[in-house]
Amino acid sequence: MDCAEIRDALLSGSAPAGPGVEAHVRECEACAELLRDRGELGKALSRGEAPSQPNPDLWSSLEGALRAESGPRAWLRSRATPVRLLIAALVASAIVTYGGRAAEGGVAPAERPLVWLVAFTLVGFACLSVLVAPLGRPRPPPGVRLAIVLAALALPLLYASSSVASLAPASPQQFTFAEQALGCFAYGTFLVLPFLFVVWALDRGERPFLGLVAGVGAVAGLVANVALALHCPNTEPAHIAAGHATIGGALASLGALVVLVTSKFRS
Amino acid sequence: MGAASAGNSEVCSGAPPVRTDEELMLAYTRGDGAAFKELFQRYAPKLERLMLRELYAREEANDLVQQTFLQLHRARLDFDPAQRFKPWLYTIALNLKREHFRRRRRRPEVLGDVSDERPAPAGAHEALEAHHSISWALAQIPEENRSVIELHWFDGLSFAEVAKMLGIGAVAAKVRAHRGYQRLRKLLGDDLEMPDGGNRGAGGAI
Repeated sequence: MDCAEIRDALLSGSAPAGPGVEAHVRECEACAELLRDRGELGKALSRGEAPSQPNPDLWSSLEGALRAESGPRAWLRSRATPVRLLIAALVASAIVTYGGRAAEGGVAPAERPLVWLVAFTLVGFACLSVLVAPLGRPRPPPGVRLAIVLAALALPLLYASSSVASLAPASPQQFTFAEQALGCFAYGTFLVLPFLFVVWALDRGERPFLGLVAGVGAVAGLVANVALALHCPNTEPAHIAAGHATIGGALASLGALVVLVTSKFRS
Repeated sequence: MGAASAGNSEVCSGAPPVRTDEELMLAYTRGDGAAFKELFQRYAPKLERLMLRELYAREEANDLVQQTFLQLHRARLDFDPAQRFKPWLYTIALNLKREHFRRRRRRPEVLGDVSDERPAPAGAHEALEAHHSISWALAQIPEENRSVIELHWFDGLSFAEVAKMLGIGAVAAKVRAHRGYQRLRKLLGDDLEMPDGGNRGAGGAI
């Protein structure tokens, strides 16, 4: 006798008994509770199901919704998750390749912080994997998921704090600190707009949108930081902290704010 | 033997063998629309009951059932034939239900109306009353106990499957169920049937 057999017996209106049941309930407190006092709780629960009156219109309504699932977005979000991840990664790579080039007539950074770029890529990919993981598949516990998103937000700041100032001679010294920081911030944010759009298109709406938006903002910030680390000749810690590292936090906060405001208006 | 072959198969004598849930889902991923309809017919009433256990508006429940199947359609290429279909479907459904309550930002405090314009079948009134009592009691117990009881008792998933869905151990799932049953026993009080077959009293806690 096991839990399923005891449940089935109670659902059919009888309280099972015998040596097999006794042996099972000695090991299983849950079944013991159901079977106490001749199974009164089990019998009560068996009467507790909602009367079923299947809605005859529900299938036709679903058929209509399935017909509406057409077009590029429907195609993208119905891909298997590894394919969706690959698409997002390809778009991010294209952004880094295009946006990471040295400005025309300008200079590239004196050093390529390779270890940091690898760290950004790994954390970004881990964050994205957690965000688009399909329902019903194992995911890290909430605390670990939060830690990954926080790592994605904090990594650019760590990079900024470890950076050594090595301004290239051709750097635009005529610009103030604020102008340079703002310029990099705007450039990085603009660069990742296609990435945000693609992730939106890939999203199936399986998970709370607020968490997704905040997490994707953090990943987009990493993509922007990789591109800027290859593109911007100014490696001054304060500049990176203000102009590069703030992008992820700003996108995550702005996205969360938009979701909260729109959901408030909708309700 | 894979898990697929151990799926829910209802065998009828004389009739062609009924395909398992896993076989139907696999067929759907290969373009068999009829397989999807069969899964819908098999699970829509069960999912409607799942939704109605705490959600008293049938229209909202039906909307969530439709969204569950829509999500299933979107995620069809993520289906792993080596895994059981039912826990996957219920994970999607429960997630939508949780999200629905999160949006409403409140728990149902009072019993709503599950009736609609369709005539109720004979005996439905008593069934509805019993359902209300159990639903009320379920709504009073902590979510961690309620979700295990819902999935194991009402939806027939094993403790191992429930544990996997909720990201906990099988022993923890049993402990949660046990504590939930204890709370339900206290809450239902007089509504529980006496050993001699009668009721302890009318009204009671509900």
